[in-house]
Parts: sequence; C-alpha cells; structure tokens
Amino acid sequence: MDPTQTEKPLLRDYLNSLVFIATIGLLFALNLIVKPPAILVSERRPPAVLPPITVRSIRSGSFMKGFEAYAADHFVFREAFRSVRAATVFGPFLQSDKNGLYFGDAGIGEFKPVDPLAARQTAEKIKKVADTAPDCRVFYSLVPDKSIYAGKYLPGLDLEAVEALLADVLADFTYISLSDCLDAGSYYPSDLHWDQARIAGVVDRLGEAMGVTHDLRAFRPMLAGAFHGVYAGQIALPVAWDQMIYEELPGLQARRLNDSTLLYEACPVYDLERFAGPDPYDLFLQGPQAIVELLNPSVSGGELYLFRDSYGSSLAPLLAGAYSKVTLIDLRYIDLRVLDQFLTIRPGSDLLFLYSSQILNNPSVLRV
Amino acid sequence: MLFSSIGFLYYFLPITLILYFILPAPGGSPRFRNLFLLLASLVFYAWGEPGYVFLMIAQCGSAWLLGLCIDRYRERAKALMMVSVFLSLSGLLFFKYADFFIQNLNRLTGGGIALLRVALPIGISFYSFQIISYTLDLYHNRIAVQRNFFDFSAYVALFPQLIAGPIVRYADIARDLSRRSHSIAKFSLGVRRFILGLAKKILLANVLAELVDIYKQSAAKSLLFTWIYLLAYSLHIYFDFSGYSDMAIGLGHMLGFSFLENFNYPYLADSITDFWRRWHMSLSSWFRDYVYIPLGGNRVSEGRFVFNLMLVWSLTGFWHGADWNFMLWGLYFGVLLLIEKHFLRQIMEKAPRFLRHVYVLLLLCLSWTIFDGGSLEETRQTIGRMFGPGSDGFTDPAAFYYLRSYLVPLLIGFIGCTTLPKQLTSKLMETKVFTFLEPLSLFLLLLLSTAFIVDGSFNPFIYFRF
Repeated sequence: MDPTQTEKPLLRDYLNSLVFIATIGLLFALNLIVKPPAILVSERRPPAVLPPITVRSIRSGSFMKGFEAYAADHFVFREAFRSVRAATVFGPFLQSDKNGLYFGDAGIGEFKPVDPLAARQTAEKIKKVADTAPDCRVFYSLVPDKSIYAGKYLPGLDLEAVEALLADVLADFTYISLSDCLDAGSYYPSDLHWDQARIAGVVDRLGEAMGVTHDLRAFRPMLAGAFHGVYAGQIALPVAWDQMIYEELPGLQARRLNDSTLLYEACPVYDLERFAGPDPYDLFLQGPQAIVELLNPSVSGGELYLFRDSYGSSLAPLLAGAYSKVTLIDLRYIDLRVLDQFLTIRPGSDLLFLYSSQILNNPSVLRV
Repeated sequence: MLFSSIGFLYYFLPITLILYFILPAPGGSPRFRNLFLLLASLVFYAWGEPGYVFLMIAQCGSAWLLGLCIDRYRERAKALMMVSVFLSLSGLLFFKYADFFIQNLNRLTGGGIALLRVALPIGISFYSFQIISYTLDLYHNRIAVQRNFFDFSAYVALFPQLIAGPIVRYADIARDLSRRSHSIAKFSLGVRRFILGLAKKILLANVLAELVDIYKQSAAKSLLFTWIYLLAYSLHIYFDFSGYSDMAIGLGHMLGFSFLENFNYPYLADSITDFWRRWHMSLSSWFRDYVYIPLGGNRVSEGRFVFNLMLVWSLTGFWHGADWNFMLWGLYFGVLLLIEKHFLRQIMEKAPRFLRHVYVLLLLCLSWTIFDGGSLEETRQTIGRMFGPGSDGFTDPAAFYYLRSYLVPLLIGFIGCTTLPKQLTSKLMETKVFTFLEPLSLFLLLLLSTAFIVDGSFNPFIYFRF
C-alpha cells in the first residue's frame, strides 16, 4: 500500500504544496498580467515577439519554438532572475566565468578561442580584397582581444598561433603587431572595445610601421559621459560606470554612405545623440556603417583605406590627423562586388585591414 | 515540451493542475480526469512533435484494438500478440533504425540506397516499450485487458513519463488508472521530488554539460582535461537522467500515480552487476522480463546463456541509439557481466569495498567514452588520452582553469551521488525546524532553477534523443 495514502499530512506537507502552487500560480498570473518592456535594455535588444497562431505555424512547430523564446524574454522580474543566476555562478558556485564572461584585470571580459579554420577563411577573404588594389601598400593587424590582458589564470587568446596562421595566408603583406602597445587599462572595463583615450600607443605603432608621423597633440579630450558597456548587461550584475572620452580634432569632417539613398551625406565624427542610445559606442562615427570618410583639410595628400570592424570607428579619427582622407570600409555591411560603385581606391594609397577576433571567428559576416 | 522550460513550468503545469483538480471524479472514478490527462499529454507531445502525435495515437489505437482481440480470441492470442508487437516495433525500427541499416547495407554491398532521413519521434523508444509490455503481459494473462481506449491511451501518453521514461508498465499503474487517491501528503511528496529533480537538471546537469561542451570544443585535450571531462560527463548524465526521472515521478505523485523508481544511487555500486540493478532500472528490468527470461535466461546451456546475455546487452545498447557506438557500449557491459559472473565474483567478494568502487567507476568512465563518442574513432582517441599524454601533454592551462571554475559543481555532484544528502535530510526531519526549512529550501531551489532557466539557453535532455 502506498504509505502516503494513509499518512496524516504534516504541516510541512501543506507548506510544500502551498509554496509550489503559489509560486507557479503567481508567476503564471503575473506573466499574463504584467506588460513586458518594449526593449530589454541590459541586453540591448527587443524582446522576442509572440508568433502568430496559425495552422501552419503549429504544424511546423514554429509557434511553439517562438513561444518559448517569447516566454523567456517576457518573464516577469527577468532582470532580477538573471542577476540571481549571475550571483550564484560567481558566488556559491565560485565559477570563474559565466558563459565565458569573467571579471579580470581588464574589467569584464569574454574568453573566445579563435577557430583556426575560421581564421584562415577570414585571412583568405582579406587577401582577396587586398588583391583588388595591387598598386597600394597593404598592411594588416589584429585588435588584441581583451582576454589577453585579463589575468594570469585565464586561458587567453593564443595570439602567436593566430599570427602565424594569418602570416601563412597573408605573406605578401605587412603585419603590424599591436599586442605590446596595449594593456588591461586600454579597454573600457564594462565593454569589449578599447578606450580611444588610451590607444595612443596603437596610433604610434601603426604610424611607425606605415611610415607616417602622427601628432596627437592637436586632439582635445572631451567627456561624453558615463555609460555601461555591452558586457555590463550580459553579466547581469551591478558594475561601475565607465567614462567615455573622445578625442576631438578641430576641422575634421566626416561623411557616410547613406544605405537608403546610396548617396554620401555629412555626419558628425562624434554623435552625442548616439551616445545616449542603446549602444553608447556608436558615438564614434555613428556605429555600424558601410562606408565612412574622414576628411582633414589641414593635411594635403595621403589616403588611407581602413577595412575594419567596430574598433576602427574610434581609432580612425586619431589616424586622420596624418592623412587628408581616411576611408573606413566595413565589409559586413557592403559587398565587395559593389564597392567600386561607391569608391575608387587611389593607387599609391595605404590599405590597412584591422579586425578583432570576433571577425576572425566569423568569416561569413564579411561579404567577400 | 521540456519539464525545464518556462512554457512547461509557468504555463502548461499551472493550467493542467488547475483544470485537473477542478474536474469531478464521480464515485471516485477518475474517468474524466484520465480523459483530460490524455488531452493534456497530447498537447504536451504535440508541442515538440506536432506531426508525430498522430503516429502515437495510431500506435495506441492498434495496440488497444489488438489487446481486445487477444483477450477475446485466446486461441489466436499468439498470432495477435505477434502482430501487435510487430506493429509497435516496426514504428521504432522505421523511424529510429532504418537509416542505420541502409548505411551499413550500402557499406557492405557498395550500393547507393538513398537514406530516408526521417526525424525521430520524441519518446518513441519509451512509449513503444510500454505498449509492448502491455501486449506481452496481456498475452501471458498477467494483467486484465483495458477496455477503455482513452484510459489505455492515457497510460501510453501520460505526459510525466512520455518522452524520457521511466518505462512504466501497465501492471504498475492499472489500479491508479481505474481508481486513485489524492492527498496533501502525496502532492507534497510529488512537489519535493519534482523540485529536487528540476534542481538536479538545471543547477547540476546543465552546468556540468557546459564543461563537457567546453572540452569537446577545445583544441587541446590533455590527459588531465580528459579526466575532468569524464568526471563531468559521468555526473552530468546521471543528474540529467535521474533528474528527469525524479520530475516524472514527482508529477506522477501530484496527479495521484505511483511510478516505480528508476535510479538507486548507481555510482555507489560495487560491481557492474550491481550497477545495472541501480541504473535506469525500468529499462534493465524490461529487457530482463521481456527478452532475457523468455530466451531462457541463465537456466540454459553455457553457450546459450552467453548468447542470451550478449543479445540482450547488444539490444540494450542499440535501444540507446542507432549507431555502432551504442551497440559496442551494450556489448561492453555484456562482456563485463559475463566476466564478473564467471571469474571476478569470488575475487571481488574478498576485495576491499573501496577497491570495488574504484573498479566500477573506472569501468563506467570507460563506458561513457563509448556512449558519448560520436564515432568509434573518437572513442578510441578519448581512451588514448585517458591513459597517455598524447600530443596535448599531461596538463594544459585550460584544464587547470576549468577544474578550478567547475570545482564546486563537481563537488556538489560527487556528494549528490552518495546517500549523504538523504542521511542529512533524515536527521533534519526529526527536528521541528524542518517543518519550515523544507518548504523554504524547495522554494529557493525552484526560484534558483527558474533564474537559471530564464537566463540560460543550454537545456537539452540527453535521453530525449533515445
């Protein structure tokens, strides 16, 4: 006979049942009642939308999959629950990272090993682009991953192995190593990017390797304000505010290719409105853009074409002090096959490919 | 639908429990509630497999009809039983094993028969075995026929155990299907089992699965890292599967059913024979009662006994997946059981208990390399790394880093495999504070598990693929 059928219920049986029913019942009701936020601020994305209930969506299972994503994104007290998990991972579980995110010497960082196969494919794409400009001097460099400076116990990026791999494919071009120009303080503690105010060493190293003299004395540091970087939201724990400082060069102008009109239009080098948006790093050259040109009327001659990812946005204004024109090209947003419709690379110019490990690991994002 | 998903925990379960307990049970008959459970179970199944829900209904229908025929036409019962078993097995063979057979036929003959590439219906291995057990028990007059199609289908499709077991036999819940009691004590027992199972899955199995995943994706696999992976995988698979069984048993209690246990501290076993009395008990007892014993068991000649044992264990391995790895895994245990029976029993009885445990754990680690190996070649490489440094050396920085990072979950896992938590709970139960401590602990575990679910995306159950 089942012992529970004859046993007299104890007070704790009532409490166990009550706690369970109350918890799932209350959260169920709140999930139905509470209006979800329009945007998940800490994750910088809109929440998943409830898919339409149709015979087709149910038969294919897409409604059910979509519902699970919707239910997770719209869960009441989502931020609080995320913080509880993070506090458990770093607290009682004493784990060094949460899904690869950690607190290291350079603030919050992320460990992302470079996939050799992907890195080789990226290098082959870089070579393909560089080969379209045979009359130019071609340089390439890697943005050192923040994890390199994270601390002694983390398995940082194996930079030497990656450099060797790239050198194998890009032997015809000049590699510029930047790893010894940076340290843990060169990056925003709550973000993946480097801090424009702390990368003078990078500018000097590039100038030295490319035979250009950069004089940063003409730049004026300006405070944009306090911000939380992308990692702050991901790690879901309280973190200190970072300060974003940008280096202003009087007379420097910018224009970007409008992806709607396909015409060039003037834009601010530093856009404070973007700083107040969901991604403050978009302050620099308006964030993700296919083509941006920086024009420095005080310099005559010398052009640089910078094939870049987001790190290039904050670096380019500092390089513009030594060139009459710096053209930033982000091949994630424009296909190489149509590039010549919007710009012509002048023979004798400098080409610099500067990518981070994120691009090395994802060659498919480059539209080459 | 996963038990450990928000959709299940905070939508499906509250709605199902409310409606279930609102429904009347006239004269104590759970007929309406069984019908509702069947409908809820079909929604639960269709949530993950909208198309295959009709396959399951068809299999229920054919087995139920043939069951009625077996009962009515006893003189033709054997033929009817064989048809029913064939129909249940044919679904399993077609969806799970067809491509395996085609691949190997192509390999043998050099042919080019195209693979079918049909998706595997979730839980087909579990519910097919439940149907077969009903048919065979009915044929052998061990149970009475179920005349109500909805009650029979509710038995097969009952959502707590539908997609990852335990394999419930009709004989074990026939009484609950016709008349079952509900009580606060039983519901509370169910709540406790369910939340503990959820916590095992979310807070331990999923966390350790991250470590397993990291090892697999790592370029450098040193000897130390390989052993860390094996420990993590051993704990992961135990907490993943036993956590699911706990949740299933707990839900069963809440709904008035009593499912048999599926695990009994398997890593405390002191022989491989003992291990299989403690691990996935519903599967091993199924093979024992429906394959091994009908073949003659061990009351046959020595040669036939060896054949029986190897057949049963190759089938047990093959049940887990249509791959040579799983077949090898099953045969590995068959050979070990044979060796223990004929050669090691006397030696082991004299050996210190500690050594017996080490022997079992070492052999189990080896078995998991076969089980988790994507291919025989991968298994060979992992075994090589277990006993030799290979090209990646004895240790590497990543191994130390991840050992440090996952030390606490690993230690909790080790302790969780022992009877220590149960002993501690038994002592606490004697104190007054436990009246409030238990509900509070369960509440915190539920919230903590919810926090991990809300913030995480890594959630698959290993046994879903079977």
